[in-house]
Amino acid sequence: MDEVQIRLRVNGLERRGRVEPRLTLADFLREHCHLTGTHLGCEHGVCGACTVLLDGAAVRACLVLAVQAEGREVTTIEGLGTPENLSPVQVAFQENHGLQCGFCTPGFVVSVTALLRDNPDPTDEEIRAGLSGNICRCTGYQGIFKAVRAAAGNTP
Amino acid sequence: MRETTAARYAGTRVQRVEDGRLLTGHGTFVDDVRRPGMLHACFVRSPFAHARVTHVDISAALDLPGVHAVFLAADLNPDIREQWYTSMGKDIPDTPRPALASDEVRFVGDPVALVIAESRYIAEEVFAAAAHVADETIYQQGYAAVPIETRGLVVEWSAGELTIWAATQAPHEVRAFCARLLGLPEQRVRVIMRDTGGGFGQKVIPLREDMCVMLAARKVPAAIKWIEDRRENLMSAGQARHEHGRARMAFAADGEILAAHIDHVQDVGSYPSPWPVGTSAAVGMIFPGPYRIPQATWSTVSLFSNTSGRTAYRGPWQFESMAREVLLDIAARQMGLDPVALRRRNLLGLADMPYVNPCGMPYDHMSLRETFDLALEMLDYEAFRREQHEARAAGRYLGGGTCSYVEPTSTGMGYYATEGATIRIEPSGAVNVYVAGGSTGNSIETTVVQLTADALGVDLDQVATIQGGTAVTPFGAGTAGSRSGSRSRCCATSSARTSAR
Amino acid sequence: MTTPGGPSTALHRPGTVGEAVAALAAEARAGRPVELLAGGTDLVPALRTGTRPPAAIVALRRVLELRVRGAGADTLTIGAGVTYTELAGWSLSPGLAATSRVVGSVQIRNCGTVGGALGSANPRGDLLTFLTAAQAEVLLTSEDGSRAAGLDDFLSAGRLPGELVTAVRVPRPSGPQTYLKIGGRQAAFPSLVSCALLVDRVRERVCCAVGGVAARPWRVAEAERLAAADVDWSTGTAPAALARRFGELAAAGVRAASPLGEDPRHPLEYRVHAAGVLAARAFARCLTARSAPRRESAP
Repeated sequence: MDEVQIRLRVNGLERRGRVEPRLTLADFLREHCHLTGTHLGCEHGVCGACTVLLDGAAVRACLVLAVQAEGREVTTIEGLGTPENLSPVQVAFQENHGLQCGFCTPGFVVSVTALLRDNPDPTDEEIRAGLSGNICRCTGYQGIFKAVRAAAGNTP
Repeated sequence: MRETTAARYAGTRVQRVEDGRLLTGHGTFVDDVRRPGMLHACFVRSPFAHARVTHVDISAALDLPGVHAVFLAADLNPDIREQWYTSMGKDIPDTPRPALASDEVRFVGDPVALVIAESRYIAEEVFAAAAHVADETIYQQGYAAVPIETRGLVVEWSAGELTIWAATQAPHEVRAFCARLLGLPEQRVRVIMRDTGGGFGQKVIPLREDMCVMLAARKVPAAIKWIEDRRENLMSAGQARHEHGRARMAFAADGEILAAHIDHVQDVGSYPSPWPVGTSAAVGMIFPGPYRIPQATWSTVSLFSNTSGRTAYRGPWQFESMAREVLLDIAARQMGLDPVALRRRNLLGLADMPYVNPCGMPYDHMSLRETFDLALEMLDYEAFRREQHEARAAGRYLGGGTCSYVEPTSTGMGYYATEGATIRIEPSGAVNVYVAGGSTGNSIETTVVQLTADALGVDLDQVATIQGGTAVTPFGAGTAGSRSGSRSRCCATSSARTSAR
Repeated sequence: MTTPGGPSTALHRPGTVGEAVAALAAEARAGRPVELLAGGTDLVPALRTGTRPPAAIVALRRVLELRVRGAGADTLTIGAGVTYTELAGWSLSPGLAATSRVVGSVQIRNCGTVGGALGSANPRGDLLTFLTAAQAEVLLTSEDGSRAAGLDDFLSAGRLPGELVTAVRVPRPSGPQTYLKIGGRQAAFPSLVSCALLVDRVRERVCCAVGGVAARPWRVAEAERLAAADVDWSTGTAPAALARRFGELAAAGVRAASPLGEDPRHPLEYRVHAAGVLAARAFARCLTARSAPRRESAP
């Protein structure tokens, strides 16, 4: 095996690993770092469940090879809040019924966190465009939309 | 203690008890489960819709480093003891459903071999391979369930016991099915489910791939994990609703419906599960829908084809609704009646309850016409018709339509009539309620906590729930047929009464 | 689960264009199949479905030279490693910005690059349609030196073994530009039919290309001639009827081109019709109204 040494920061902690070039960032996070909050729904770059922040930018972790994250900063859902101390976006999702089965939810929370950081006061159309890279099969999106609207109101 | 208490929580919006873990990436979906020495399974599938299997050469696969075993039909299928689903029982006229295809493959995606390897990356390489009658035939395209989490399970055989971590809507059915499949006593099989990422019918019963992993688990020295990929899910996790029907209705001159009939035909693919007939009968039974129809008959035909099997998908209600309502629109146009007036003429109301439809389905507590009228009022139907008329004059086409249907729930038959709740009041007074579970996003945890808190007259935060473990929860049919909420209500409430006494 | 690539794929991580082309040359000399990796949005899914994994991958993220945008007196040069997100906010090229804003989802725009769009050369690719209308040149480098190729030539002939796309070059805008498309959900599907239109008020002409109908993005020459002749170039405006005629000629022009494969859900005739509608609409946006700046987005 032609393995490559990589070093990156995940949620503020340095992580090292020897990985095959073909290992995706999503599998590195799930299998090597045991951070299983990054979910894999399609592995084709469509569903958005695996969305993480790479140097702050929302990306699909199933389309990024782990070796591409070398030397960079990754933020996963585990880095955004805890059950005891939810982030403002997570609180808004809970209060507005923005989730049901919860499988797509980490991807939505990460995408919305980046969206509101870059655009704290989005229009309805900008919210819909910002959510368009994530698929939810349960909610019909209305609760998610309301959650983003509410979180935007709470973002200082 | 009180016999009953006023509902403080049921029917109100409360924050879901599931959300803390799901929002922060701390849920436990089946792919999050890791076991010591765990091996990974993947299937080699047919690229052909129909072909004979003459020879499968597994030597190249076995030579790959990290490949632990390759199983073919001859390795797994003979171990099957019994194979039937609790929902249908063992005496129905079922069709064959082999674990792996043996002599013949019948659809693109038909599993032919099961590869067990140290990582899923290695496992993958093996692929390097009356007065008026309205009469219309109505067609519907096929659907796939596409839960955002694909199927998957982890199966571990250890010390004569089998433990299964499953993405399922019905953990107790997984246990019962597996015990029968392998000829194990039920208490030797334990199913654990925590979070399941949507099911929509696809995860209501174990399918062929699940059977293969269950059968293989006793032949390898560690747990096996199988996580389906999206292409497999689209190819072979079943399809539904590929059907058509010739629908007819007879009307009196004033629009009163006199009779209804549907000849229904559905594509059941090659391996329909749980059997080839079930849902098509439901289409016929419910075809009269929310209307007062004195006479109705139906027929249904299930056709096999070279596609994956028909599986459950959100009930059969869409087709019977569409066929009936499209037909009513056609009839209204032919008779020169307003389609809404035609429906109001025939809708059942509260005053008609209880009622038995001509196919034998009992209805009660239904405000069908009242609900329809409320919807029209909210829409301001008359105003919309005026707006439509004006727009038409200006060359713009606006459309409006209605669709009403009746959905049966909490079937009082056999397996689907079962559900239980165990309530434990701990020494501190804290309450634990145990139910079968099978939540796939339908909030059964929160629902059960709400109901129990109300039934015992305690605060919401004093109640916790344990679900999805067959070792500790009462038997129940889980999430299917829109039943889990209403069924859970009955058992949580009656158990609470017993506990309270 | 499907996994991207094979177990023995070698990885090159060059830091400069020189190192990158040296790696490509070495692999070419060894006769080994090699893939370039930029954003990964096309390559990683292709690796998953591919039956023959490449022997080597050259990952370009560390090559900072590829991530530069520059403005000369007459031209704009965009490095192959520039992402859609970076282009979406680029005021020097409103057309490129409008095109980049309607590519995929934000997660894709954050990764996908100009070089990747050229390398994948999806005939429905948004950026290719715009670059065709913009008469872009592709800059290529190999161990033997550098060259510029017209986009058309590049799309017909592709890269030579050992070559790396380093940048594209387009003329600086000299008038309104727009990009319109139709299709399924933008985040999940490539556009079905697209149209890029650039007004050049200096040379008094309109350049227009249609994507998704012909085998590759197609310039509609007859329609362009009509525009050059009949637009009032003193004001840069045209009557509404001219937009309609422009659309008809655009549809006729692309109908005559060698077609992209037939697709039962979107028959050629439908796509030809849609191309005409989009071309007329693009023309009207750029030439028949003088009011406040419009949002450039998919209709």
